[in-house]
Amino acid sequence: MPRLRGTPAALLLLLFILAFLALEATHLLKPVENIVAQLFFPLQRGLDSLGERFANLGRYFQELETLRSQNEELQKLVDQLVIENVRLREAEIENITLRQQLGFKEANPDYQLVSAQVIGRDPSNLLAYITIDRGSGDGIAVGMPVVTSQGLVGRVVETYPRSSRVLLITDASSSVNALIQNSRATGVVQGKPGGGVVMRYIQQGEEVKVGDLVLTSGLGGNFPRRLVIGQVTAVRQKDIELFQEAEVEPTVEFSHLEMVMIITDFE
Amino acid sequence: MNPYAAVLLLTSAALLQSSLLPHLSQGGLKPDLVVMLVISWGLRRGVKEGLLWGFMGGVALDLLSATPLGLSALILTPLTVLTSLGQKSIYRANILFPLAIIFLATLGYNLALLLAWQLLGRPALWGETFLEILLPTALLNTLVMLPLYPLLSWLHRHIGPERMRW
Repeated sequence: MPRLRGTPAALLLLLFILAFLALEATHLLKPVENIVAQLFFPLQRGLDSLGERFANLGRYFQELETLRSQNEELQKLVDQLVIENVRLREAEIENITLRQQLGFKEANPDYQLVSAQVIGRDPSNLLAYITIDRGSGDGIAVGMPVVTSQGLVGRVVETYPRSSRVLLITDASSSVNALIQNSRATGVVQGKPGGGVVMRYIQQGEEVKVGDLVLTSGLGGNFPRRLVIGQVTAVRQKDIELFQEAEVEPTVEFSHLEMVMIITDFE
Repeated sequence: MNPYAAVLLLTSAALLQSSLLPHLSQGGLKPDLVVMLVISWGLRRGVKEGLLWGFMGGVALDLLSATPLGLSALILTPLTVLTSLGQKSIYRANILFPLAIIFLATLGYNLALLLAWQLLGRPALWGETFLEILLPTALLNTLVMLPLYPLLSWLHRHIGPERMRW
């Protein structure tokens, strides 16, 4: 019985197929096809996009691990490059300082110089001392002048086998015999609280102008002659006083002092 | 706190004060880290620990400074004992109390140091030094004390009551 009922159904389907083929061949089904295509188009596009997303998601998970390891490697590389960059920058700064020191050595062949690094400062704000990494074992002795290529820094006041303490010219207890370059007026450069220096005991009548260069006079023999100390920024002169005074801006930047030179011998 | 740990802490603070802080300083002034630590600890822990911390902090400073060995300890020890009495004060929980104490203690410490140096023959320009160093330093220390004091208070609570054995 099922065979008897199935046969007409199959024949009917075959008939439909033949009819469709015939209609397709004669393009009579085109309008229907167009309508169906219009209806299916958004669905197809949506499903295709969804499929693509699923495929991408799969690829994403596959690539995620690769990207993660790549990212880690790149981060390591960045870290290395940052460290390298800092090291090179430091080397560049050190190179500039050493070139300046070399220039100073060449300009002053009479001086015996020892380079040193600043390793510490006095913990008290009231004192202007630095500690350097050269000591008696390197031939450093108390009283030796300390300079940079910019000018006078101070003098050694205490030595240890591998380090020394240097009194800066900005300390209130520091005194350096000095002269004004243009007028040759002499005086004493003393440190003052807050980091500056002042030139005292300049005879009345001596010419001192703002901008004049202040150098060591060499009197007393503690410092060599003609070391730059600073530049006059203000002059205080009162007729009723015995001496006049000049505010001096040191040429050395004491807050950024990193490397210095100790003059172990000078004529 | 274990005294050995205190020695380590105060020596490290003195080293920081003489090597790292000068690079971070503004206008050439750096905070008196050791003085702040010692005074704050005394305020939290009382006279007994304050006495020892004052002495150890002073010696640590003297070792790295151009001052004669023992001078800072001589000033800082009694000063810490004096300020440690504040531990009994009913105002100690108020943050303004330690701030005022550190301001006065910094001034007292540096003034005593300046006086001692003058007695030892070093020139002391009182007016200029007061205006350009002492007062700004006291203000700077008070400012730095704001984050430091709560940190030390936390450490004090973490360690528990005063117990100091060598």
